[in-house]
Amino acid sequence: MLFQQIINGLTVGGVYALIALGYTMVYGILELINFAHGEIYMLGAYLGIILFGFFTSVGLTSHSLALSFALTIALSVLFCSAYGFTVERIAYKPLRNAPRLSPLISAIGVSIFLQNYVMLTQGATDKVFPDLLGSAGFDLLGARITYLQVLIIGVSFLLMLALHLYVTKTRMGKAMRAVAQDKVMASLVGINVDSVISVTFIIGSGLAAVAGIMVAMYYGLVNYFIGYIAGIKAFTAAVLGGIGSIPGAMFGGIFLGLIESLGASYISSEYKDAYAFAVLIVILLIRPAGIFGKSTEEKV
Amino acid sequence: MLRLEGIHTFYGPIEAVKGIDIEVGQGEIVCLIGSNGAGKSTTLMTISGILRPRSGRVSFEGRDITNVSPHDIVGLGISQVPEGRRIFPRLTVMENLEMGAYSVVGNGQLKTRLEKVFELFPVLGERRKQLGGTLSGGEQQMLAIGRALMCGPKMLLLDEPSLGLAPIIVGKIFRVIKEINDAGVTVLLVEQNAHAALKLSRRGYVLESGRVTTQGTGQELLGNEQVKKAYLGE
Ligand SMILES: Nc1ncnc2c1ncn2[C@@H]1O[C@H](COP(=O)(O)OP(=O)(O)OP(=O)(O)O)[C@@H](O)[C@H]1O
Ligand SMILES: [Mg+2]
Repeated sequence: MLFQQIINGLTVGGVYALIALGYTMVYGILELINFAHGEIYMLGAYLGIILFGFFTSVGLTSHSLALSFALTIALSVLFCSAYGFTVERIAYKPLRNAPRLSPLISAIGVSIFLQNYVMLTQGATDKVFPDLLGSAGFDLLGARITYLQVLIIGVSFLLMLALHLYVTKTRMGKAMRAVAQDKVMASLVGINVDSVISVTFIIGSGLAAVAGIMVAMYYGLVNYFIGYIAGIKAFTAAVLGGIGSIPGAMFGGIFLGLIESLGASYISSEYKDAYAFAVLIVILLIRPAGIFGKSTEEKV
Repeated sequence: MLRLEGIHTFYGPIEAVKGIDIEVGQGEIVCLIGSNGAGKSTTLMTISGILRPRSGRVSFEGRDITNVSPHDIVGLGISQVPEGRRIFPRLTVMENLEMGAYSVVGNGQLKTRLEKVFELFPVLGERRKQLGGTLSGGEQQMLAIGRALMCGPKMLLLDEPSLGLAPIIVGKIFRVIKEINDAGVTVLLVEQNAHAALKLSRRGYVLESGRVTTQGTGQELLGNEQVKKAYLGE
């Protein structure tokens, strides 16, 4: 029972973590809460359904499920990255030197726009993602683990590892950290800060797209509103871990998934969505900057 | 090599630099002295492209760079050690230096430059894995200078490199500036420590509330009565 809940929690938590990374990376660099990020995730889920449907209709899926699936993910990531890039250029970049509230309002505007855009073009009713793997799986330590869960947990952790390596080892990744710490100094060493910001949006949106497709497969249903609640949860996860901190977002997402899953089975599933916020309040009372967060005095 | 003509720079409605003309020749050390708020840092930030002058012209090696973006200015060979050092606190010493070389494509020269910096400041080599934020003030200043050298600049802008450092370290920093200049790097030095700066410099400018009030060779300024009174505490 406990092991089962841990597996379920890791599955959802991995997805929260992927979305939370987009919030935290953008916040780390721009101190902006990108309210439109949840909508990018929602777009990823829709694109997953549309693209997979397309590949099925042209016969690719029956020919090779793996290829069809890989192309679906790759193209959805590509589209969502393009959306993320464009949103930043149109809605945030012109407000770079405006008062802090302006980009925040712009972000809410983009979020509402994207929701309505998807509702008008895709309809207000739920869309169904084809059930590919069904409930196939295996039993381990008394828990039923589906292949889909293995896939989701595996992909989430692999992407987190990849992001960690990217940020700590590559030239661009180090530049991202430099920009987050001091934009003026980053310019003075020759970093093109605008490109680094674009790359940040592109990576965050790509991760959200993958999260979107995986959730669509897990729950089987998608509607234009899923970005809202997932966005709030992932944002909570980012704050929990310490907004601006990449390890914090990973930890916060997984922690939140586990809390929800354990709370739902050991306390009551009616309040599933409330546990996240209860934990958030408690943690912020003890550590206002989040678990991995830096206290503000440190940030000179 | 570097020429500022009629530069006016504003912070919103506040005019911090009010029409200055400065010239730095190839191979020179030129210093800019002046009291707090005179506009020295504003001038350096305008040269680096972080601040845009409302009017006037900055040119480097004959080329107008007034509207070139900061990262491209670094690429042209102007590197700045800003006021307050601005070490990336949560990057290691090594990563700070790597960022200094960000504008350099291909890393053929990277290793030799790194070795040069460690030769100049051996303590940085010992602490290469430490986070920048954990270094002492003097070590941070050395790192800031080392970082600025990593791009192999033709010209180095230094903003109050001796500020807040122990006299022993100040001496070391000034010796290093001389060494860097001897190696062929042109230097524009902003200092409150006017005596040491003027002794080191071929020429100097005195800045007061955004205007150049006096200029001359280092020797001339050291002997100038007004400069003595205002900046040398004599
Ligand atoms: N970000 C800013 N916003 C508004 N005014 C500023 C800003 N930075 C500097 N100033 C003003 O511009 C003027 C010049 O400042 P600047 O920092 O260039 O002086 P400075 O000569 O470098 O002084 P210091 O020796 O204290 O470093 C000062 O009057 C200062 O108050
Ligand atoms: Mg200054």
